[in-house]
Parts: sequence; structure tokens; C-alpha cells
Amino acid sequence: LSAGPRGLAAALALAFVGAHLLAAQAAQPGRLGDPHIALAYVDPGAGSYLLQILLAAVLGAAAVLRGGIWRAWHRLRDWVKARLSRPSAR
Amino acid sequence: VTGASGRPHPGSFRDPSGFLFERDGILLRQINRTYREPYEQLMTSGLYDALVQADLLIPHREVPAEPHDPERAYKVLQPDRVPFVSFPHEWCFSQLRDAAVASLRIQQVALTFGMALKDCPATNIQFVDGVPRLVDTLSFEPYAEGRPWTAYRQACQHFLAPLALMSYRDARLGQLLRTYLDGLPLDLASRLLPRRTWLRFSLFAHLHLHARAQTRWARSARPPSAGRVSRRGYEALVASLLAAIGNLSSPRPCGAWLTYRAEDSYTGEALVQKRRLVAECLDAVRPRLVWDLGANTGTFAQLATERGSLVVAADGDHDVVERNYRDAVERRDRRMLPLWLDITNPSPALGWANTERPSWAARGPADCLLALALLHHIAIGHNVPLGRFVDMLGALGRWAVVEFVPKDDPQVRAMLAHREDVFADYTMERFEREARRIFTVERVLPIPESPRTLFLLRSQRA
Repeated sequence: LSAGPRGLAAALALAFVGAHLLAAQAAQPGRLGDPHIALAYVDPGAGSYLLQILLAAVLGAAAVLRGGIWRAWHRLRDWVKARLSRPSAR
Repeated sequence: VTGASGRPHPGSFRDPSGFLFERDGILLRQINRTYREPYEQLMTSGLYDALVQADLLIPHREVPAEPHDPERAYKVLQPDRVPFVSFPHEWCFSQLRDAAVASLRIQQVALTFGMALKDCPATNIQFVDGVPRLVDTLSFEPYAEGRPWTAYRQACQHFLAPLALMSYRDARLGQLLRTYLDGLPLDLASRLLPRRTWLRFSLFAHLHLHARAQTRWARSARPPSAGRVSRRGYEALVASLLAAIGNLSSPRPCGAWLTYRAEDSYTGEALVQKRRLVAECLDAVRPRLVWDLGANTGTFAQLATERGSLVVAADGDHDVVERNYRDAVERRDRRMLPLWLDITNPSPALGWANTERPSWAARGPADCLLALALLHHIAIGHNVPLGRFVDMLGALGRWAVVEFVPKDDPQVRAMLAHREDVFADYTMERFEREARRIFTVERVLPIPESPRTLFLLRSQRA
């Protein structure tokens, strides 16, 4: 908090991405032994694989945030429109 | 491989799900038993129909043909044949970008049907009727939530890395794909890209950070099941790659040929007459497949596409290929296939045992070659004797329309202005004599109001 609003925003973003990452880890399928793994003949590359997990968490969290902001904006816009189009009480 | 007759395709051996083979001139695909479930899901889920209708996948039909390896076989398919196979290092920037976009769109569509691409090499895309389409029916696997995308590395190496280099550095770097058949090493791309690309999140993440992750964890013993990717994260990753590729701007022109105009070498009337005479030759030959050698922006290649021929319009200058491709897309010319190919050093046979990807010459012969305003560049610009030029024509085509540009032509005079004229043999008589070794000279057509002459040649081997 001593870093100010920017630090708080960064901490919140990190927590959000972390939560997204943890939620993804809870998903069950795709373990070794999964018959589908046998189809994947392409070497995904250890570094690519691990980076992808991190990137997917960041991008997925960003998508959730973007969706939330978008929905909130639309709600606000609809609310303002409704207020403006309401006929005067007088 | 055991069993029945036929010849396995030399470039189809990596995927244990099946392989291509050829029998009696028909290309067939064997699906192995291990791929039974994914194949049935592809066909019954509606994904196959959706992709074929969207022009993203070549269609196939199941045929009762005997498999090439019956012990492992589940089914045999006969895919629609690709009229002319080309490779990523022969594509201009926009072709590679369109191929990338098609691959990632296929991945997005597949996800909506509960499947995903298990591989993503650029070679799985071919241009058919002017549109990039997936040609590998075995590229799909069931999507399992939590499992990362196995082809992510491939998508970055085959598409994003070369495209970013072409866009930010120089279009000619696309030729690196001729050396690196499994896509550009990301550490190399990261080193070659300018520093400002670190400031673009998509390039920073998918290329620079990716390259460092590959180096850092190259020998990681961590099992691939150790991490999970949520469905939302998976979709966001694909969307991010798609946006990264879609946002790359076209490379700056780097060659001199884009400013070369046919009008500079002819009077208006001579150009009209040349068009008429070339059209006349094409009408006489009625070729199905034309290779236009040194096609530039495809002005004369269009004469052939207008007559229903598929034209492979080859040129060694990236910028003119790019222009030709974009123009063809704009006017929806589905018979034009511009390729970035240097006639003096065409694509060799590449890959495992030099058989995985056939050479340019092995993909012939063409029904008809167009070599218009080319001979003087080859003979004088590249010191190739006339006899060798004719040998090359004989190896590549059944017919040829060749324009002879004499030494008193302004273009040739300009070429010889600053160098010694060591080309005593460069005469029309010598050319005709060489041509008659291999071809029958069907027509000799002087272009009115021009010192140039067109030859219509028919191969004696045809």
C-alpha cells in the first residue's frame, strides 16, 4: 500500500492472475495416461509448455477483466440512457 | 510398412495417426486404428462439414480401397488432390499471414466442436482455388479442458516468428523457412528483431519471452501434466496469437522490380500486340497448368487465368509476388498462385533423405511455360548460356512461350552499358538452333513495333 494506487493495482492484478492460474490447475482432465496424449506426436517443448500455462493465465484473466469492464460499461450506459429518456415527472 | 501395393508419400511419416500413399496415380490417406475415435468425432460432431463449408479444409471421401498397411488400418480416404503443392518459403508475406490466420481460425472453430489442432505446421496449409486450406485431416484431437495446446510452439515458430521478422526487418528473411523446416528457432527470431518489438505485448510474450523460456527450461524434467490451462485461457491464447499476426503490417518494399513496368519496355501498341500474341499462343495450347517464369505482378499470367488455366506465377522478387497475390485476392482470381521463387536457384528437394519436400522441377512438368521478357535477364544478367536455358525449359514444360529480346532492344542495351559484352552467342538464330534440339518451333511471332519476337515451342518429348 505504501507504493500507492499503482502498487495496489499491480498487486490486485497479480492476485487475479494467480487465482486464474490456480483455478486452471484444478481442472482435472489432460493428465499423463490420458489416451488423447498418445495422439499428440508433436513435442510441445518444455519451455513452451510452461510459458503457455503462465500466458494463458494472464490472457485469460485479462479476458475476464475486459469482459467485466465491458458489461459494467454497458450497464452504466443503459442506466444513463434510461434516465435520460424517462419523461419528466412534471 | 507392410502389405499392399502403392507408394507411401515421402513427406507423410511423422504422425502415427496415419499417412498418405499413392496408388495408380491416386492419392489416398490411410487412417490408423489409433486415430479411430478422433476421426469419428471430427466427422460426426459437424466440425468437418463446418470447415469444408468455410473453405478451411479440403474435402475427402471414404473409399473401399485396400489400405497400404492393413494391420494398422482403420479407414482409407481419398482427399481432393491439391492441384499444385507449394511450400511456406515460396510464399510472400501475405500468403504466409493468410495461412497463419486460416490455421488459427480452424483452431477456434475446432474448439467450438470440442476438438483442437494437435499440430500446426505451415506445410499443413495449401493454397487451393486461391484460398489457404488445411490439407491434413488427421490434425485434430479431442479438446480436454486443462491440457495446454501442444502445437503452441509450432504455431509461433512456423508463423509468428517469420512473419514478425518479415514485417519488422526485411521480407527476404522469409527465406529462412527454406533452412528451418520446423519453423524459425525463436531465439534466432528474438535476436534479429528490433528492440522496439519488446514493447509490443504479443511479440514480447509469444516470441521474446517464449525464446527465453525455451532456453531456460530446455531440459526441464517437469512432466507435461504438471500444469493446467483453463478453457478461457486457452481461447485467449489463440486469440492473442491471431491478433498478434493480424496486426503485423506489411513489410516495406525491398526490391527494384515493383517499379518495373511492362510499359517502359514497349510502346502502347507493342504491348497490346504482345498481349494479343500471347493470348493467341495460349488459345492454341489450351493448357491446364501454366508456370509463368519471372511473372512480375502477373500481367500476362492473367491472360492464362482468364482462359481457365491454373497459373503458378513465379518470381524471385518478394515485392512483386506480394502485389500479385494481393491483386489476385482483390479481384477473386482463384486460378492465380503467385510464388516467390528465383528461377536461377529454384527450391531444391528438402527434408528427410531429401525426399520430404519435392524440388520445384519435380513438381512439373507444366502444360505450358511462359518465359516473357525473361531470357535476357537469365542469359545476360546471370550468364546462363542459351543452351542451358532451353534445357531448363525442356525439363519443366511440354509447351513454352518464350520472348526473345535482342541486343538492340533498349533494355538489353541498358544491361550491357556498364559491362563487357561477352555474349557473342546471344542471337536469335542461336536461340532458335538451341530450341530445336528439344522443341519443335510451332510459331515465330515478331511483336509489331518492337524488336522482340515470341516463340511458341512444343516439346518433342510431349
